[in-house]
Amino acid sequence: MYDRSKIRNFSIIAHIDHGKSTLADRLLQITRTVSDRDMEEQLLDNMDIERERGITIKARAVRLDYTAPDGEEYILNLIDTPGHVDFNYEVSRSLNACEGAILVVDATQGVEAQTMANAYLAVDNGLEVVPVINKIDLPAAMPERVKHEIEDTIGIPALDAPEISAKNGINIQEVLDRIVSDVPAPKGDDNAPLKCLIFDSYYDSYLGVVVYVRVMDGTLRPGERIRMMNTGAEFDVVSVGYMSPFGLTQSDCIRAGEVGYITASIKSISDTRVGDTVTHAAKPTETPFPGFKKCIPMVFSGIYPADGAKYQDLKEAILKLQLNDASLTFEPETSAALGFGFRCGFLGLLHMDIIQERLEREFNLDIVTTAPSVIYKILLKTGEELTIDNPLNYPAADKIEAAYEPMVKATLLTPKEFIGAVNTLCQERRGEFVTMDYLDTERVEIHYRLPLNEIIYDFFDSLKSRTRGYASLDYELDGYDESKLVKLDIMLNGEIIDALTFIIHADKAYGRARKMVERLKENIPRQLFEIPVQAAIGGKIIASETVKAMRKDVLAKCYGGDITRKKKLLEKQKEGKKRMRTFGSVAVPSEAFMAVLKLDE
Amino acid sequence: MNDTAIYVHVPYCKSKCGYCDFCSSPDVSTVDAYVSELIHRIKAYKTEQSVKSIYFGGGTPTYIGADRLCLILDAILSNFSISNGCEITAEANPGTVDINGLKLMKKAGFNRLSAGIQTANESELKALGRVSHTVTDGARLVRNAREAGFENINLDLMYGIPGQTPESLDHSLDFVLQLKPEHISAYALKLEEGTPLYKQKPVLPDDDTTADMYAQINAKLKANGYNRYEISNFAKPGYESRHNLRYWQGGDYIGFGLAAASLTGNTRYLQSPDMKEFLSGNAPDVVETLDAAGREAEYIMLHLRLSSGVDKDEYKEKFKLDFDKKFEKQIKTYTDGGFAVNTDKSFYLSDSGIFVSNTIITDFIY
Repeated sequence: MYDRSKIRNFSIIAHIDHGKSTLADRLLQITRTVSDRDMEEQLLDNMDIERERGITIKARAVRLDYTAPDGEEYILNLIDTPGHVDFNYEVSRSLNACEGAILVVDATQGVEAQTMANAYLAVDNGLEVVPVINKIDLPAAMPERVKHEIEDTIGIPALDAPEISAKNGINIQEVLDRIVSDVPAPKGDDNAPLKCLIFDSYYDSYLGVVVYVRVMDGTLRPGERIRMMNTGAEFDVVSVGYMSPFGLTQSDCIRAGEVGYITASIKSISDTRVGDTVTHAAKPTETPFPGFKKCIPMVFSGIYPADGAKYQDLKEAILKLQLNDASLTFEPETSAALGFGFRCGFLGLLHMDIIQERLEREFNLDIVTTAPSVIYKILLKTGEELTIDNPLNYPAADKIEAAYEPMVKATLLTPKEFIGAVNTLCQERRGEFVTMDYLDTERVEIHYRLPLNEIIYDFFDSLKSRTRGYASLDYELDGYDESKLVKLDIMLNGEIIDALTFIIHADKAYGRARKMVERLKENIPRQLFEIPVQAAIGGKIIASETVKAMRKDVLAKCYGGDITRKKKLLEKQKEGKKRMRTFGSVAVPSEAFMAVLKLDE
Repeated sequence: MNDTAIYVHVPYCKSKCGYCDFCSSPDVSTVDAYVSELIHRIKAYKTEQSVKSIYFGGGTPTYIGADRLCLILDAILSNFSISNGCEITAEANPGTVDINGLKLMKKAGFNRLSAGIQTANESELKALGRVSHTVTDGARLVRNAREAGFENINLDLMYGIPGQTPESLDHSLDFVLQLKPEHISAYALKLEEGTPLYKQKPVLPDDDTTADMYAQINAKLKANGYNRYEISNFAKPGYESRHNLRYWQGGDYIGFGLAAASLTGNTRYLQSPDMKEFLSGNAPDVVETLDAAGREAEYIMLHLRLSSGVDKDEYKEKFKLDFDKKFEKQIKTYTDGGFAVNTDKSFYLSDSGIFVSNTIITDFIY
């Protein structure tokens, strides 16, 4: 029975760890969409990494059949969104597919940077926001204070927000009641020209790309020809239907107001961009859904196999990841230091981290990554303009008229006792203070304008460690500023190691160069010859250390009974050396490359 | 090859030292059964090869008593064809054998004694977990051996001991030198996994300090007329250990006893390391057959530990390969760096190469 007034489309938004996925689990359970027996922690977060980090990387959707206490039957479509700023665009598309959002706030932590960012995004998209106070069972819970904080900072009524414990299943029914009563039923006309918003897609080796859509207007049936309005690609629909937690459920059609999937033997995920509009090829809608953007990578880094022979394996792994992640870009790259690898582009730091971790865990690869870089804009003296995402392509200083680096507007939320720590960190990272507001007597919102390249290294880790994990960060791009940038080269035994070259602000070059050479010295094992470790700008050395020559590497005893064992020992030593990268006569372990990327420890 | 050597392993000790990972134990309940199994195996062995050297190692051979050692040696002497001037060594630890025992051994045919002195500093003996003897016991053992007629004595010395300093090492060297041994072995302490010392996680002198100590030992022993002929071995001219040189030069040898190794041509045999299995007499040896490459790798590994290095003519004859041609790149790297010397006849590691020999050797083999 198709009755639009009985449909509710909603998402859950929250800061990391505030309990979004746990609440989703509980909703599945209470509506009997998932039996208690099949219940597995954080069902919507399929990836191991998601479960471990407590984050959602890709959007997901599921349909719940819910019978209200008054006997009315509802269809609740839950669209789970990624909670992190790197995936802001995906979040906004997912929100566009909904009429309401449940805002989960941790009763012990209160409003955090991402709570605000996501809540504003929901309000801006015209969603009805339903606040929920979670973790009410914890001794440190302060529900009343958190409710006032929500009203004060986000400006939505929250005093009657349900107080729940997703973990222990307390007051979940109240959340369902609110979804039914507060979230509006979808509008739309199932007889109008077809208009579906793509909010997610994934590659399945049997079905091809499975596209998740919210139908705004019209009705879609198998066999019909569809067009992706922004990419222009056309396909014949094979099947349509709904999402259950355990897979896809086929149906005759999907109609205005509904959330569902489409398969159409689509080979490439790049044809089904998030935010694009699906319509009928024969009778298209006149107004595609606004706001479509192709995701633009912000952060770039080289990824190489630790063992050069594993290049093909790495290539296949990256290709597989890209099947489900259109925002990951890559192209082959060769480094004198690391051999064959790939220059990869990421939406942000978390995205980069996740890709690296998935390559190591899901594909069992040992990888070496080079220093992350942002996109710099260079105006040459000849008047020519360049965009540089790889430090190796950075032009010589005497050719540059002006250099520009990307900036971000950063919002940091912190308990007041860490104001000093946060300010110090931001100023160390060339931040420009904008404003500071007290959210209440305890918590402060601090705004800074920062260069993006200052936060891509280890800003987030530093922020967490300096504020004992309490401060949170959110940022958005804010144009380009002219800057004094230099290219810093690292040399071993007089030879430039290209994988370690990076771009940095002139005022910070010396400090970083010192740390880099010190860290390298610690991580390069002593070898037969003394190894100078130097950092240089344009050939001028600004920092230098020496790995002293090895003086002892010897087996004291080697008599009759020892020979076989000693031979094996030397064999092992040789194997260890083979796993290192060799530059001229210097052998460098992979760990040394990683160590220099984490300097603030 | 028409000659060989014999090694007898005696796996008993008064108490196990903190750093020891050799096959030995203070449990002597099996000692009689062990000696008769050894004698049984010795008598059962048939070979035409003449025996150039015999070596009793351990453990502490003298700990089971001079009379038992003589019994075993008698069995060897009567079952094998023994070369004239055969070198017959027993390892001995201070405090385990008296003047009478030493006289008995000398009379039975032992003509070389190797004594574990290790250090002249009581605190260092303690740090090593070497609790069975004192420094004075060591001096007494050497005096008694001289009196019993031993004219070829080796003393073992250790360096890189927790708490050791250049001064305390110098004291140990003086102590050893005034005992006037013909041969000195000096070993860097190595923490072997599983030993009590390893578990204590002691602070050892760092690599630079240990390398300095090694240089200190080299200089002092050289000044006193001892030549280094292997990484850890020094001798007065003519007193190089013939038995040990055989291991390094690739000669055949026959091992009797727990975990003892034998080499015949290209085949290595290992007797069982398990006492019960060994005593049962029917545990088969572990056999390792070396192919040409394995033999060559061993040849290079062992010869580069010797001061005389690789004899290029001998290498060519054994492996039908030209050493200079095959290792052109390595030879250049290491001679340019001052780590090795290449002459018409031989290739050997220099004083600066010998203490980093692992790195260099691995570059020549595998």
